[in-house]
Amino acid sequence: MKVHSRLNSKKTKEKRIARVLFGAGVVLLLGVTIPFLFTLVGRVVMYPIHSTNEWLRTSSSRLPMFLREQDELVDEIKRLENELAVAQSTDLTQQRLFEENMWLRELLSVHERERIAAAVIARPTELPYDLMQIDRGSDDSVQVGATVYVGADNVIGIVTYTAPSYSFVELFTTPGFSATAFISGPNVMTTLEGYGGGIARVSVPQGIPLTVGNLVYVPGIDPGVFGRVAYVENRPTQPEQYGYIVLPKPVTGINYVAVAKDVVAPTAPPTIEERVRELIKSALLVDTKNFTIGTSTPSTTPTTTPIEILP
Amino acid sequence: MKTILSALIFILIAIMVMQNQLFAAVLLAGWFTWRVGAFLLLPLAIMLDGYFGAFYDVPVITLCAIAWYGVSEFVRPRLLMHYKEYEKA
Repeated sequence: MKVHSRLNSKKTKEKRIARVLFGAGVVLLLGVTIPFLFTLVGRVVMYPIHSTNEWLRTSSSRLPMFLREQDELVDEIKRLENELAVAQSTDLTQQRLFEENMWLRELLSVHERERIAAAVIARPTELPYDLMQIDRGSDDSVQVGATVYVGADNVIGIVTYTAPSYSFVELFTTPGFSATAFISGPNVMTTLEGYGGGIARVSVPQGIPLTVGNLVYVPGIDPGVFGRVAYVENRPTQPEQYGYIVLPKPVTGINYVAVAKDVVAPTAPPTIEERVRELIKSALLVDTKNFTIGTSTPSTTPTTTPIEILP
Repeated sequence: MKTILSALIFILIAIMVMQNQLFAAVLLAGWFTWRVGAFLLLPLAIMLDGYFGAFYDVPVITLCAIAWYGVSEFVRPRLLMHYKEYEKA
């Protein structure tokens, strides 16, 4: 009897499901036939839900704001993750380029100059600003004019005095110091001048796209990256704009430096440019005072009139 | 308590569909089907399609709801171990 009852119940249930499905199908068919009525009913019935939805979307109350901000934060996280992935790939590219560069340098027999590690024993404010004392001197082959680095290629100053056991380093940020510099980005040559207080300054004419983060090189020294432009002072009424460069590390935070063993005579690019310009001028200039025009005789084969330029 | 919770979930499904949070809506619909049944989702789907004006085109939500009802009514008894009707019998 029990089995019979279960079977009946199952049959009833199946009938109910079939009835519901049939009813839903009829409603669907009606909806497709008279969509206007269904849309109207739907909009009227769903009005409270619609209002709630609009409140969640546009209200400035705490809850909707919180929910919206949460969505924005999720989007922000996604964006940052993407940026991180891009940055990681860029880092990989930089590493590959660095290795390739080292390999090419090796092929071209470009050897790194020998350096001496030195500890900073006095710095501002113990010494006048933009001056450092290091614990290596002439006994350790430190020479006046040797360049001083922080890290692999961040040049910060020049040795100006050597004693047997110590030396003084004048930083590029010393007031009055000037060097020819190259700004990567706008790719312009300009003059780097010490401003004092651990700051150096480059000036370029208005219109040149000088931006924060541009690398500043001292091309007379190899490798000669000085730093990045940290601030741009641009007043439209002034003919020039200024880029301020700070040291890669604060002066008080520099404990060790590397001093180049040999003194490299810096090559001044403007001088080279001037020489090249003179050469180009002399090559293109035709001295009109000292030239003769040759003529051809009628007996010989006709030729074009040659112009002889006399030296 | 169960009725209130079910009613809240029912409204939340509608809001989630309106907010275009379809994944959350599907999850809630799954939970609602398991606890209450899929029958009530049919009028909700019809109303949502009416609200979106989907009857002028293809009422996708209603079609999905009908299919979901059919599937769930066959699957649910197999998932629930102590089904009331069998217990009565």
